[in-house]
Amino acid sequence: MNIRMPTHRLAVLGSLLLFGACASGTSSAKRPLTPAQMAALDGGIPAYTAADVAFMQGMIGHHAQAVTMSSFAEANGASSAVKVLAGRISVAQTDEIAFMQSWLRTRKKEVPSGNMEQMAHAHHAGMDMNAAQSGAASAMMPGMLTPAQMDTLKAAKGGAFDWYFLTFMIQHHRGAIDMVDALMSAKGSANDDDVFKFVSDVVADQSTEIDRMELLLRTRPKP
Amino acid sequence: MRTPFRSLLRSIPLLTVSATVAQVALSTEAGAQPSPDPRVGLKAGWFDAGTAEWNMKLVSTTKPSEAFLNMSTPGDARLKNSDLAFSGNLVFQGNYSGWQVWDIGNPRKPKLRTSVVCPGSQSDVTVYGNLLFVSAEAVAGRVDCGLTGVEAEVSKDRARGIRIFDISDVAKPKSVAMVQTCRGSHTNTLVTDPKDPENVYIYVSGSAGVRSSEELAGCSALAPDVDPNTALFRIEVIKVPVKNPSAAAIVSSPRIFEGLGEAVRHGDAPSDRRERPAGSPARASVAGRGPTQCHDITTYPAVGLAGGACSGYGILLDIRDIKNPKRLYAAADTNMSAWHSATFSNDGSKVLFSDEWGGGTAPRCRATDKKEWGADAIFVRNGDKLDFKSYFKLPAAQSSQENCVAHNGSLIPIPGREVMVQSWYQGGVNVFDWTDPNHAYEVAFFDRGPMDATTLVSAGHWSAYWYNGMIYGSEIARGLDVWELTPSEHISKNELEAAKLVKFAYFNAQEQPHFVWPAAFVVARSYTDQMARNTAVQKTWLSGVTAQLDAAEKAKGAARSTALNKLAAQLDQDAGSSPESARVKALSAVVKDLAK
Repeated sequence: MNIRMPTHRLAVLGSLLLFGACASGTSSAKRPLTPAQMAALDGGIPAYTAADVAFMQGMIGHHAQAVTMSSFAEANGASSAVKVLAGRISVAQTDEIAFMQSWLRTRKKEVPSGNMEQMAHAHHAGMDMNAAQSGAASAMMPGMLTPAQMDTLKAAKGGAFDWYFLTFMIQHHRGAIDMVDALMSAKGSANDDDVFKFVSDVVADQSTEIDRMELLLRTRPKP
Repeated sequence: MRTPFRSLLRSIPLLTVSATVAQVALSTEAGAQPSPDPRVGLKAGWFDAGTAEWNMKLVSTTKPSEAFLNMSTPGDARLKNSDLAFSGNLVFQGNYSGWQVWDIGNPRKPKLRTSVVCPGSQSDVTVYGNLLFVSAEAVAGRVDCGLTGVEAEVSKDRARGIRIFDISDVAKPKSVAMVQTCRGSHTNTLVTDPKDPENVYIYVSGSAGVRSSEELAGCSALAPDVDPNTALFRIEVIKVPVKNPSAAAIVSSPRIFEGLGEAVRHGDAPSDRRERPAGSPARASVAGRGPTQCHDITTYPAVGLAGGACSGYGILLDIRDIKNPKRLYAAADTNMSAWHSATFSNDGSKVLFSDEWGGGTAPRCRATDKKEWGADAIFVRNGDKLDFKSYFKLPAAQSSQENCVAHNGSLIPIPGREVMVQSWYQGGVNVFDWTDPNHAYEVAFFDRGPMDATTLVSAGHWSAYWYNGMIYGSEIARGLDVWELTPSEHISKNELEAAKLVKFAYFNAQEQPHFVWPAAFVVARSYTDQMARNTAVQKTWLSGVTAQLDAAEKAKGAARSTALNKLAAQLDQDAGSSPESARVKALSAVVKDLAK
């Protein structure tokens, strides 16, 4: 799980680095590479790991479920505080899905659709093995709701919806934070500035939302 | 001849006066904005994007220096420009791969003094005397500033915390210390104490993950009830002996969030438990226990306060004991998620917090995004409490290709008003007035088109600050922008001239300085211009006052003093019953100073 890609680029980078190090160590006029020169060597794609890719692919499905959960709030009669929260989660995670898809596309990796139903369909029909695998992978991501939990949420109304939404979304968000923790502890992962910033933001946003949801839950009885 | 103000006032019912003021304020705002807004539909491009400006003028744009410009990848994430700090004629500009120093002796043509390669985002910079403090947060940053990153999970080479440089020779900065912290440093804030000139203090905000105790002894990411010494739920305070900066060290780790999460602290419900994926660390989730960190802290030593933007809270801190800041109040708001930074009004009575919803890389200023989300929230201090008043957000809708949310800004020293400049990433930069905390409005702007017409390439203004007469903006991908404000119906020439009289030897936006204006006729006329704009006082009374000011300025020596003292006496007499009582008193104070 610690494969640096693409290997041919790494080889080029390695030899140049060595050259840079030697050059800077001698009294000759050769200067070490600048960050810009280093960056130009990899076509704007810093080294990343298989764990980074798996994280992005899995998190798209994870986020897609949060968007689906949030989409029930309006029709199921959520309170205004829960509607605001669901609205923010929906916008935030839809944007983040777009970011993750763009990150994967740039690296020519399989890009999950980010739509729960399409992903499930691809999985069942076996239409696209890679997409199906990503779909299957995201279905097992930490914190995701089981089909039974999703059915419960979809059927709940008013105060009951609030309670299930908050309870399930806390579970869901905690799973996302655990996914980031796992990524951060994988060797060489999240070194890419874009990935590091992204996962830091996921933790910051979602832990803040968990705090808020815990507070909202306190005043709402279990149905 | 002046018209006796009080007699005029008596003939006008007070209610009518205030109603008129409100109507005028609204119609002025509506009529003043250019329509259609020229910020909508600007041409995309890196260095050739379309631009729009209103009441401010771009005087220079300087591309990043060669070391930080990869022309083959627009907006390269490793080469982002970050925050700014100012000292004398120098601007220090952070970059994810190091930092640059620009000489702004001629703001129309900034000159590169040095560029220092030292990766480890975000490189938030703070300057004090001969010292530069730089935040290091990323896991790939190295103590030796090398470019090779840190491969090992545990390594003595990894730099996360505060780097300290000696910049006495700015062309040859020397690294003098690296103060390692458990979470690294996302931002850092200077705190100075006039009674303790031997030392300065740095408040460190770290928002990334906690590193292992094998790498830095004592680091723990456990919940506080499991490990009371956890690196979470606290900030770090570094004491820096100014003459011996290599002895800089953490002196306290105040738990300023203590008690905030108590209400919701409880064990995981059965539904929260789940299979832990292989390889993930076996530790309890700390989410749901209140904020674990601050994103940024603005100190305002002149009033002994700091505003902490900490996860889901805007926190008011008493910092009179610098090493032991005490939380006075924590504000939470349904519409605010990522509390980002704080700006105080000059008198400390109001606080503006920004919400960096989405972390600055998402397009949150689209027509579909709510005005309350990713905006500023304005609060008024009520004893030790903060009362929410209103939101303010960039009024021009941006495209889906432009990352946009409230970000860094600073007050502009216009006497008698709260006017500030703020950056909104690819939403550009704007200047707005929040004197009335219920009704903030835009008075100037600058915007560029997106980096790319079809995809979101993260860029835009990280920060925009007023410094000694000009506005400086750090553009993530495009370099350093400098603007001048131009006089308009919203900011008069006198107000601009008065703002330019306030000069600082150094400036870090996160250590807010107190504005004090010298005795000057432009300061007095700022107040009369404001009264003319607000239209609450009688025109004839105001023209009498301005005529006396004009005559006094033309007079010399004792005659001037006599004229000014006479005017001040009249102002003192009229202040009590004036609808602009505070402004008349402020004017009187300036006039008295001028008479000296």
